[in-house]
Amino acid sequence: MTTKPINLLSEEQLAAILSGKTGSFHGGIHPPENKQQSNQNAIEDAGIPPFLVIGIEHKGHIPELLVNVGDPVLKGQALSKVYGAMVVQHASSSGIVSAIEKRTDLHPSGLPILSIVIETDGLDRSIAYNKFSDYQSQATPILIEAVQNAGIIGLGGAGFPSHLKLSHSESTKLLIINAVECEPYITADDRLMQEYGDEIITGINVLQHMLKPELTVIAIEDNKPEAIAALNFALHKSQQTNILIRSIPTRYPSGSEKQLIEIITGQQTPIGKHPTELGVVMHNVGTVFAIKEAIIDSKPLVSRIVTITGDAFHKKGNVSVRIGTPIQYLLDKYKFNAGVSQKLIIGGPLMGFSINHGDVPVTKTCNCILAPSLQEAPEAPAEMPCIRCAECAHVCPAELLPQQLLWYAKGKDQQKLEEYNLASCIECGACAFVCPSSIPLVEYYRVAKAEISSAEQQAKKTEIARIRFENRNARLQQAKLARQAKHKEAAAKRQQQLKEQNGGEDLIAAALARAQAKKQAPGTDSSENKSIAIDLKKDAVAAAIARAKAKKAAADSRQKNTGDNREDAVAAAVARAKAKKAAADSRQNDAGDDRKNAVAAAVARAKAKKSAADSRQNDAGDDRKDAAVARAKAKKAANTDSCENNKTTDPRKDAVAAAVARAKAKKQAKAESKHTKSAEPDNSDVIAAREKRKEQARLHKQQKNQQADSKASGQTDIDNKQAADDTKKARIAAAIAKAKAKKSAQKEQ
Amino acid sequence: MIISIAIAIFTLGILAALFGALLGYSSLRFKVKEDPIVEELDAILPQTQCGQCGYPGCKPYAQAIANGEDINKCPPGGEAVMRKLAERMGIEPQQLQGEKKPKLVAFIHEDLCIGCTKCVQACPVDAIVGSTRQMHTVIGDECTGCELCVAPCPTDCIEMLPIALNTQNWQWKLNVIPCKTDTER
Repeated sequence: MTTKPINLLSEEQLAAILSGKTGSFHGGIHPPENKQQSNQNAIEDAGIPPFLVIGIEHKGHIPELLVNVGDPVLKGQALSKVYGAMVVQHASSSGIVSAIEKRTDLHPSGLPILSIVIETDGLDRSIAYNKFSDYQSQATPILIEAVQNAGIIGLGGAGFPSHLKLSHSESTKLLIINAVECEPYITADDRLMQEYGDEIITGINVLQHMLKPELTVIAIEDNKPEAIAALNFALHKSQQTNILIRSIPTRYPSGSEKQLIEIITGQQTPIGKHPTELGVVMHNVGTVFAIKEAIIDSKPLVSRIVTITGDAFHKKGNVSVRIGTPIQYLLDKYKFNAGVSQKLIIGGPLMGFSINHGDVPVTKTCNCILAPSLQEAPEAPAEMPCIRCAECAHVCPAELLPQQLLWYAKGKDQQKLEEYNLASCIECGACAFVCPSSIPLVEYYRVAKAEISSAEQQAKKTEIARIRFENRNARLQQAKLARQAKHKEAAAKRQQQLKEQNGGEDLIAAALARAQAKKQAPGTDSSENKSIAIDLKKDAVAAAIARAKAKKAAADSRQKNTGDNREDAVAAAVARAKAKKAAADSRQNDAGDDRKNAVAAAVARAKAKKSAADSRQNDAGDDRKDAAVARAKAKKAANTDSCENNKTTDPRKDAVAAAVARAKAKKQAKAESKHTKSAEPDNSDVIAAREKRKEQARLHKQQKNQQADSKASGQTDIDNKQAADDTKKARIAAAIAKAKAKKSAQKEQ
Repeated sequence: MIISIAIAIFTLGILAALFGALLGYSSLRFKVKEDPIVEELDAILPQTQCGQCGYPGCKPYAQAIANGEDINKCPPGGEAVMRKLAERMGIEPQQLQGEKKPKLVAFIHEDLCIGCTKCVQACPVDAIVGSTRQMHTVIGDECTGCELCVAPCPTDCIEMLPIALNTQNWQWKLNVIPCKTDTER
C-alpha cells in the first residue's frame, strides 16, 4: 500500500460509470434467497443480557487493558488501548467486570481467547460523549483516529479495521458503498437502509469528507426495492448529486469486494493487489452507519444489527444486539427450537460456519444467526468422487479451476496450489453449491490454505532459528578469539615482567637461541665456530651480569651491615645512657641499687648481643645469596661447557655413522659377489671408503647418507661395468681360441 | 608407417597438453569456495539444532550429508524432510531413525529455577533469557523444541510442552471440535 497505485481509474472510466454502464463478473449462482422471513419486521433491541463477553485478543495479540476485575464500567467505556492496527474494544452496557479470562470465541475453531466478562446491572448507563462540533473542520487524521478509537471494523463479514481503509485519501477515485448483501437469508443491511436512510447518507458524507473521492456509488442488489426506495428518498431529501445509487442484478457473490468492483467499474483488480490499486475504496453500509455514529454522535461501536432467521427460530427478524451478548441469550429470547441434528450457523448458508453451542458471544462480524430446520437445510449427501464436469469452473467468480485445486489440495501439493492461485479463492462456496458429487470444495481449500499458511510460518521460524544459531556460533567464536588474545597479551606481559626482573635480558629468547645453536651444531665447521663464538659472547655477557649482580648484592649487604653497625652503635649509646642514668640514680639513691645496675647492664648486654646476632644473620643471609648466585653461575658455565663438548665431539653419532658405513660396505660386497665370480680386490676400496666416511663422520647425517649412497651406487656401477667387460673379453678370447682351433683344424685337414 | 604413428602420438600429445592446461586453468579460475549443495541441504533441514543426528547443529549435518552421510538421521524433520533430502541428493529414501514427535516447546517452572544459567548456555538459538541467580524463562516463539536445555538443568525445572492450539495455527480440522449441541429443548 506504500507503493503508488498505477492502475488508477481514468476520467473516462468514471464517466462511463456515471452514465450507467456496468460490468459483470465471471460465473456466479442463484441460490434461493430466503430473505422475506426476516426483512418484514422493524429492527428491535435485543435487550441487555445478564453478562457480556467481549473478546480482546486478536490473532494472538493482546492489547493493554484499561480495566481490572471488579471495576465498574459504563456503556461505551474503552476496555483496551490501541495496539498496532487493532481497534479499541468497548463495554457495550454498564456493569462490573467480573472476570478477565479465556472464553470461547465466535470462530469456527471454537477455541478460547482472552475476554473481559461484564456482569451487567441492567441500567445501561452510558459515558458522556464529547461530540465534534463540526467534523468538516477537523483534519482527516483526527477523524481516522476517532474511527479507530470508536472500535469500528468492517461489519460486512471479514472485519477489516475500517481506519486502515480510510487512509488512502490522496488516491481515491471511487468510493463504493457495499449494500449488496448477496448471501441468502441475511437482511441486516436491508433493514438498516430501510430504517436509517438519512443516517447512511450522512455517514457517506463523512466518508466523502475523509476520502475525497471523485465519485460515490451505492451498490444494492435489485431484490431490495424498499431499501433502494428509502435511500433514494433520503438522497433526494439531502439534495446531493454526487452520490449514485446503482441497482445491480441479484447474483451470488456480487457482494464480494473484487467482484463488486468488476460489476461497477468493469475492471478486474490485479491478482494479489488491493482495490486501492484501482483507486477504489469500499465500505459496507453497516460500517458507514457505524462511522456516522462515531463521528457525528461520538458513539463507539457497541452494538450491531443481527439477522435472526431459520425455521428453528420461532421469532425471526433483525435485532440490534450489544457486542458480547451470549448467543444462548438470543436463542432463548427468540425461541430457538432445536430439531434433530440441528445446525447453528453464524453468517449465511454459503459462507457461514457452524457453532456447537450457544456459549459464545456475538462479535462485530456476526451479521446473522441462522438455525435452519432439517427441511430447509437437509443433511449434505455423501461426498462422491469428482467427475470433472467443470461445473465449478463455470461458476467460480474468481475464474479459478476448482477441480484442479481439489486435486492438488487432496495431494497436498502446495506449489501447484499456489500456481493455480488458491490465494485468490474468496471461499464463496459457489463451486460446492453446484457440485453434482456434493464435494465440500471450500472445506478442502480452507484446510489447504491453513496448511500453506502454517508452512509459511514454519519456514519463517526455521529461517529465524537458522539465523539465531549462526549468530550464536559467531558470537561464541568471537568470544573464544577474544579470550585467546587476552591470554596472549597476559603471557606477553609476564614475559616483559620477567625480562625486567632479569635486568633486560630475555632469558627465554636466550634459551631458545641456545637450543637453536645446539641443533645447528653438527653442521659445517664455520657455522659451528660461529655458534660457539656466539655462545662464548653470551657467556661473557652472562658472567658480566652475574658480576654486576654480585657487586650490587655486596653493596646491599654492606649497606645493611653499615645500617646494622649504626643500630649497634645506637644500642650501645642507649646502653651507655642507661648505665649513666643508673649510675646517677645509684649515686643519687643508695649503693643498694647495685642489683638494678646489674640488671640494666645485663639488658644492655643482651641488646648488644641481639643486634650483633641480627647483623650476623643478615650477613650470613647475604653470603648465602651470593653463594647461590655463584653456584648458579658455575652451573650455567658447566652447562655451556658441556654444550660445547657436545658440539665438538659426539661419540654416539660417530658410532652410528660407522655402523651405517659398515652396512653399506656389506651391501656392496654382496652385490659384487653376485655379479662377478672373478674376485676383484675390492676390500681395499671398502676400507678406503670407510676411512673416508670416518673422516666425514661429523657432517650432517642425511647429507652423509646421500653422499654414501651415491658413492656406493657409483662403486657398484663401476664394478658391474668391469665385470661385464671381463666377461666380454673372456668371450672374445674364447671365440678367438675357437676360431684358431677351427683354423688349425682346417689346416690340419 | 612409423611416421604416421609418430604424427598421431604427437597430435594426441599436443591435444592432451592443451586440454590439461585448460582444465587446470579453469579449476583455478572457476573455483567454487563452498559447496552450494550444503546450503541447499541446510535449507531443507528443520533448523531445530537439536543434535539428534549426532552433529552439532543442522549445518554440520548438511555438510555431512554432502559428504555421504545417511539422510535418515533427522527425527524432527521426519519423513518429509528425509524425502526432500533424498530427492536433492538423488538417492533412495531411507528408513527414518527414531520417530517424529509432535513439536514441543520448552517451559521453565520458574519457582524451581535457581538461576544457574546452564540452560542458557545449552540453548543453540539463544531462546532462554536469564542471568546468574536470576530466574530464567524461555522465549516460546524462538524455541525450536530441541530439548537440549532439559538435561543440563540441575533442578529438572524444564518441561517440554506441546504447542497450544490457537486460532492462528488451527488447521480447519472441523471433526476434532468437541461437540456440545443443545438438543434438550
